[in-house]
Amino acid sequence: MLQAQIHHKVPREFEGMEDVLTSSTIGLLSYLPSAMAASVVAELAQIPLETETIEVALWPNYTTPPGFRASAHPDGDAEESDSDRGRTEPDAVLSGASWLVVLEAKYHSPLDEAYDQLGREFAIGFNEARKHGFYRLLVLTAHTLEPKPAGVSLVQGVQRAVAKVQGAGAADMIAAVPESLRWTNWQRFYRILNRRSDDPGYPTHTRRLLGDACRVLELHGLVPYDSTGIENAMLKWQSSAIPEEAWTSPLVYRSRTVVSLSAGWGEIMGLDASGLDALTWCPYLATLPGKTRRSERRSLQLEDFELSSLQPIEWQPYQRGGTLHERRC
Amino acid sequence: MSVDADRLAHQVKLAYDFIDALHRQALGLIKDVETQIGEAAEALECLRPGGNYCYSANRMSYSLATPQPVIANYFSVFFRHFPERQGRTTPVGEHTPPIAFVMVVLHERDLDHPEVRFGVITSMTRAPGRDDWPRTVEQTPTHVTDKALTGNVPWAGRGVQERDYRDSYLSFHLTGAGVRLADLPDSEAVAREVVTRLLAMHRQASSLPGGSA
Repeated sequence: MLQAQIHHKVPREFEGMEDVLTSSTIGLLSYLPSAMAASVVAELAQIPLETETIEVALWPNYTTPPGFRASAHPDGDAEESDSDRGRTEPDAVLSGASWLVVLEAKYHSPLDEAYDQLGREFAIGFNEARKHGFYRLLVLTAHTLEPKPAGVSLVQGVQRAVAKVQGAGAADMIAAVPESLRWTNWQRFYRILNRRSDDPGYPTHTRRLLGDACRVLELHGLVPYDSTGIENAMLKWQSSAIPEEAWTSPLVYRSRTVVSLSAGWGEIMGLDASGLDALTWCPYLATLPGKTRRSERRSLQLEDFELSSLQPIEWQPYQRGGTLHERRC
Repeated sequence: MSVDADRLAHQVKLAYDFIDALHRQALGLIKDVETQIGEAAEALECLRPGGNYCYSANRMSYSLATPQPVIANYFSVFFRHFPERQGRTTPVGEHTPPIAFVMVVLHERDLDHPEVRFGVITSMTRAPGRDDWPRTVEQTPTHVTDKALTGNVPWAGRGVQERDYRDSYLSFHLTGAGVRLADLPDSEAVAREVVTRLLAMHRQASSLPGGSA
């Protein structure tokens, strides 16, 4: 399904379905190594990181808690049975040995302004979490800032909704809402997945899975806007005049040697350039000896080497007894 | 004087990579604004020039008689509230609804810093005696942007801009503001500096007589 979506092989209306998006991204957690899936959930839901097994259940359904009704009751205030209240189906329930996350995902559909749905799901999760310990109701939407359906914050809205819960423990449940409820967005989920898909420390097939999930989110425009792309491009421009070897070759100033420009960048930038002797760069000492390499040495315009922040320093290719320029002459 | 082939290849790649990153940055920002204002209570949606879901950019010359670089100086998108699912065009007339716009200006004669301009166009009408063009607002984005939203002094740091525009085709009132692109590093900044202010302008314009969205 991931591939069909990425290659636009499914109808447009199907692509935009909330459940399809949930399946392609949240559902993916079932196929990831357990420790990684747990770390993704921990970061997304802002819970303490634990490397342990994780259970992922998509669209599980539960009996709606007393006090809520899935549909209008025909007998008014008559005593309700479980079947009268109907069933409630969160988008996902993610659980570890010591925590439980109930997830409500929204894409195009709005949050319920009466907070009935979130109230039901909060109550279900709160009761289920007695077996687990730590509990979180995570509301995942496409908003950039936390939404306020009907002008009420999510915490207040859910508190009002769970106040309908009948029986002992209702007060505990209301008090638990601020600590247990979190909102996040798809864009942040993208960032979490994308960072792991770029990490060479994970197996290739896992990174490919994560990468494909990110492509699906990109197709929906659920990508965080930030300036990383243009900053990287600017950095490439800025360093474009520096020969590739300069980044990895030993660098000598005064009597000290820095392993390379990239490794020693922080040290170089921290120097008082005006007090330095000529900074000497030795690109070929170990790597390119011999006559056959001389033409290559000449092709490097080291005298043209410019880096605005290092301009006070005169950069010269290192050569015992003279510079490259002198040798050319 | 010869050109170093490797250096040329490297510089060409750098240049294309940079332009690609720059344009993606601009379009990413516009997509972000579109997502955010689509989720707001006003539910503003993109106008579709020529029926297509696309942005507008400056006119580019493809003439070999006067070869010019084909590169976008700006990207702009226009939005409005569509009360019904039917009728996705916006006739120009007495009841033209407020039109919101967002544009990323990358290059302009007097521009020191790339900036994002946003605002609301109200009271758009055709010039007296003209009944052929424009029939819909969707026909006008490039015209409006070229004539009224670019070519003057930068907007960023100058507060709210208010002006009336009139030419031989149409007239309208413009309210807008600008922010430097560099001051919008992420979605949260876009929400604070652009979307919230844009929605406030749109709300105010919609509450004026004849400004029903």
